[in-house]
Amino acid sequence: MAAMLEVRDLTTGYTDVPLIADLSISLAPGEVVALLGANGSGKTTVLRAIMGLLPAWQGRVVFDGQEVTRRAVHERVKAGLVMVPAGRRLFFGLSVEDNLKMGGYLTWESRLLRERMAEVFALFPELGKLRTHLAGKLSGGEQQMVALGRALMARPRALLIDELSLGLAPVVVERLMPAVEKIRNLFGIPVLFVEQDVLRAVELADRAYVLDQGRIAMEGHPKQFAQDRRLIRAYMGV
Amino acid sequence: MLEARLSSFLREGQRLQVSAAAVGAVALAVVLLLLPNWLSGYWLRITTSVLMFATLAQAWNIITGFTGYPAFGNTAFFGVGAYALAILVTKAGLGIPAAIVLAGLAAAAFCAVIGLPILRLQGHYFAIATLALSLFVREAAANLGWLTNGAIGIVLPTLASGSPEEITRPYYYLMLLVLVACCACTWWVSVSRFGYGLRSIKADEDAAACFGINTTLSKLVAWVLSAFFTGLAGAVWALWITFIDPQSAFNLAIAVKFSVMALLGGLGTVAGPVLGALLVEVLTQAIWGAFYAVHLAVLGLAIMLIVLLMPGGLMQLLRDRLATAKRLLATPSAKESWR
Repeated sequence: MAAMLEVRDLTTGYTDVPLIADLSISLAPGEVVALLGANGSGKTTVLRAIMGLLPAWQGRVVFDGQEVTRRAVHERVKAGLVMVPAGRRLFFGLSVEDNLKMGGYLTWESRLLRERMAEVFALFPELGKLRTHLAGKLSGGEQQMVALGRALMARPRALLIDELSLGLAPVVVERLMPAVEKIRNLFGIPVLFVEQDVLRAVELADRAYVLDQGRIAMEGHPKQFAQDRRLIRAYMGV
Repeated sequence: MLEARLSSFLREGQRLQVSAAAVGAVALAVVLLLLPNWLSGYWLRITTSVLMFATLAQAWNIITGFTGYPAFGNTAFFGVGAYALAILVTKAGLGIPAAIVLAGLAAAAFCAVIGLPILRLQGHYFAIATLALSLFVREAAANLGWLTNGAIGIVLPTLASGSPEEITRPYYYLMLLVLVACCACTWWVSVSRFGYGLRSIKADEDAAACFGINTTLSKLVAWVLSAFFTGLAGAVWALWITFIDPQSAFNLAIAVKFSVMALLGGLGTVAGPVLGALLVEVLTQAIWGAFYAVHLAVLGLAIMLIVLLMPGGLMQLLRDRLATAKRLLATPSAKESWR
């Protein structure tokens, strides 16, 4: 099957030292793929580079058959590549509804926005009750739901999720993780997600990459290397 | 169509606020149109100056209040507008209305050219770059003698003669027109998708890009709009004082004034900068009259006190008071009397 998202030999970084080098990953339609690795291994950088928030030095990013390597961030979003950033980055002074509305910026048509909001509230019934509440007053888990919902408002054709579990209690993560699966099953959106919590990620993903110092150290079916020592070593950085 | 789309976005309470604001705006418009009949020449000049600074503060509000880019160097566009008008009127012999509009467009075009590189900077770097820009344009105006008469300056024809009231009246109305246009534009920004985009750029530029906002273009359009109205105000100002030179047209003290006014009134609101301009200008006049020798020191002190006591600006203060009043009205219950 042709890949929805194809990253080929990508090299980039913030200063003049590459943080990720010759990195190749792919995401097939309907697939849920985990990107694992220790702190500082470059996971977030990979997502930022795919979105175009960080320009690629070398290599290509191909989305749905189109080369987007040199395209601006907003053009990639328009094409259907949408990211849920780490730490949620909501507008705390705005209501849940207005935060969701911002996610639908490219449409901004009230009928469509209402339709999509209803979908989000169907996915996260908790949010429906909180729609007029300020995002800043919600719990971490609820905020993460808003962040996921906001991304869905843009009608993504592929979703990148950066650290869903960041700063959340394990119980909350337990309830959020199934949402990722639902997103795939209900909307048929392939998901590439970065995760610290290996065991949970392994349960969820069809495939996983392990990133070590900016390079892919391993790739495969997560269950087959869940117990693998190499994974533990790469992940723990020992 | 537009109205239907708009109203569907505004919740009930907001819709009520909008109609109240519309009634207020009409009443205000009538008062402002009739005002020159009641004021002395002295107060008419002060009022015209309030209108001018309100425009500058409001224009600054678009790029700084909504978008979060502190463009202190907006004085560059004020000066460009003033010079463009002077040159178009004295050298090209253009009519006044056409010259004013073209002067605004000249400032906007200038901003469009220099905006792209400067808007790559953020925060303090951006602020300083805009200040440098203003100084650069002042030097250019002083040295391009064939176009600007250099340091000698340009003398402009007067529009009216007669009593002090009659002389000031046309400038009052021109300034009023510019301010109304600028406020209308800011109001549009405050309710449009474009404005939501600007506010999200202010809050978090990377996140804004991730919603599909073309951040580069949005910032540029915001600054170009700001420059356009600043240039219009500069053009009318040049007509009004009838003599411009580089020192007066590119005066950074103007930037201090309009930014204080906008901050005082409330950034990111439509009414705030106008209220701020009124307050500061009236305060300046009152203090100037009462403390002739040390009026600048007293004014500075007053501004410091105001900023310390209401950092969110007048609009925030009003909003808080309104919210408290509403809460008190809604719950006249045990809680409040118990307190």
